[in-house]
Amino acid sequence: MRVVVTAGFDGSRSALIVAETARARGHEVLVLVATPFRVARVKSLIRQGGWHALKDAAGRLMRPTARSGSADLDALLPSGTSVLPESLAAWALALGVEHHSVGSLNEPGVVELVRAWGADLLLYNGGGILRAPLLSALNGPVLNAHAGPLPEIRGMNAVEWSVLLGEPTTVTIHQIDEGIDTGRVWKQIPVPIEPGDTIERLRARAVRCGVAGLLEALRARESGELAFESARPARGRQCFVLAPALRELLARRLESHA
Amino acid sequence: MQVVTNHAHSDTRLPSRRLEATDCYAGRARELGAWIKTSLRPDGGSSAYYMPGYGWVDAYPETTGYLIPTLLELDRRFPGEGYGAYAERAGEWLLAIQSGEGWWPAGRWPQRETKPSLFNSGQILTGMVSLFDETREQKWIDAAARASTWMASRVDDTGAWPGGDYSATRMPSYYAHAAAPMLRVWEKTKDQPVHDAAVAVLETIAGRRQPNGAFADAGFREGSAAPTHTVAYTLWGFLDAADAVRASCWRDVARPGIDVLVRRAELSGGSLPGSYDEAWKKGTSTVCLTGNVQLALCFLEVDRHEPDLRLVNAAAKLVDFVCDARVPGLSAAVPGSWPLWGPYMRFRFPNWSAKYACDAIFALMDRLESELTFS
Repeated sequence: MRVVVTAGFDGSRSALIVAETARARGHEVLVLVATPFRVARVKSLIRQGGWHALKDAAGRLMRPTARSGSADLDALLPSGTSVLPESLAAWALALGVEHHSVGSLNEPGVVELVRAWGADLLLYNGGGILRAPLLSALNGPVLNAHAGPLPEIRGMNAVEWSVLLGEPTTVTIHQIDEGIDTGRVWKQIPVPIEPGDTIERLRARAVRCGVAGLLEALRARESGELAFESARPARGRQCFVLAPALRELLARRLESHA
Repeated sequence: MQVVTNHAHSDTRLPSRRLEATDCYAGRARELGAWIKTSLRPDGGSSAYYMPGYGWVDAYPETTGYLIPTLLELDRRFPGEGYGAYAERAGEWLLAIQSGEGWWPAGRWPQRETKPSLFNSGQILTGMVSLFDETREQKWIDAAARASTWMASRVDDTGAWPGGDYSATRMPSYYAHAAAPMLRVWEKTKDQPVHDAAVAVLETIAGRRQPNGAFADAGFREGSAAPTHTVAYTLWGFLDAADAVRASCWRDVARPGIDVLVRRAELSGGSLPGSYDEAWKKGTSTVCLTGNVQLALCFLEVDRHEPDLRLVNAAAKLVDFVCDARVPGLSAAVPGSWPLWGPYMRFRFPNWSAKYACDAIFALMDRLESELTFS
């Protein structure tokens, strides 16, 4: 199979693990990294979360890799995998894998690249909202690991909103379509809340479940068992980044799980 | 202004200890209250706005009227600081300038030539009803009854007030915010003609709602983008009417527009563009701060009936933006626009911006605290 793996930044550990697993399983891999430093993306980040959000995002990028719980993520790799480099670019260079750093995954040049390459599957690990031209450039599904139950919790900060709205914390593996988290669902994976969990720990656990889910979907696609549920209509309002007061409420709610 | 208390979340409420966020909000409200006090004149009226280099201008009957419930709420939250007395003095001043027919005048006070104002009279009803609820003194509801009877008498056969305060022929949609207080008076007096007149106006305005949720003619000038201040007036009129007559159908009129604005508030991170046309195209990139907090109140009012923390999230972002929009040297005040040179009340600090900021902060605090239990 020809598998595209996307990422929102070059140090994405989860994207690296998905890409390496796909490669190790004998698939051809194309890596597309949407640079985080576009003006539009920075503006959007500031609008959503203020200057603090920009500072936080920059902090995450400046760390050697965005590795919260990377040991947990690395445990998902096939046994015998050598130590992986810090970045997708370094990994791709070492292994001769095609890697592109782009301004936007929706650029016409990227769409044409994906179409010409003959992609059978896209495993999404970040890089912004995908538009119709890219979605239709593939010969197969575009899959995402959404950190919340669908169709109940759509949008951003999904694992956080699941806790706040009293929904079961869940990762949903689903197709990406033109809506916001409206694509057909393949699988829902429970994400347990553990005593002492902070927002960060819970998010990290959801990321791990998401990566595991995408890898399971890859294997299902290999064996022709990737079957999706019928589309269900979107429910409820879209979720967005938590305001500080709601974030504090969430932290208090997690404390009460102790 | 309704205090938000009606939330049954017994399954998810959290143990004790106030949120730091609500303490911050309370501090900001206290600053706003102190600022509002500086607007109050010896005769009881509240000045319309503050201008740097000039100070507070003349009193404004309209906004003095709807400031009263905020003063009463400040008195409840910060007892012993005299806000209750200020509220009654404001009420007495309004009684003194009410016309024999029952209307209150347009514009600021004093004025060389008084002109009746439908819209302004409607805003003052809110203050009169609040004082009646607080004190049970008949004079307040009598004044409100006289005004609302006069307002009812001006509604024509089409269910409209034919001339507004800024136009001889046109009733803007934000006059929903004048009709709804009439229903609050009706709640007390059961004066059916007042009720029927208010409902007729609301039905006329409801008929102007577009499929996309926007209301035609919601701005100050026909054909121009409506500031979020008057968009919120329009929406709140229906929400308030729904509560007054216990009819959710009025809330349903406002809901589509509110859903659009919730999303816009989130996508903008709280820096909501300050005006929109009927296609929801923004008319400015500057923020109408008054509109921000008024819309936060609208979101929280919908949440009060259909609890959804996503509405609270959007409201919090609008409130936080206003709380953070501070001018050095005048940091307690809320300007009309942000940046200051925005078109809404350019370089001025309206008394009503502070009023609505207070109201929104209190509603938000109550809502957040409803998620907690206190031992």
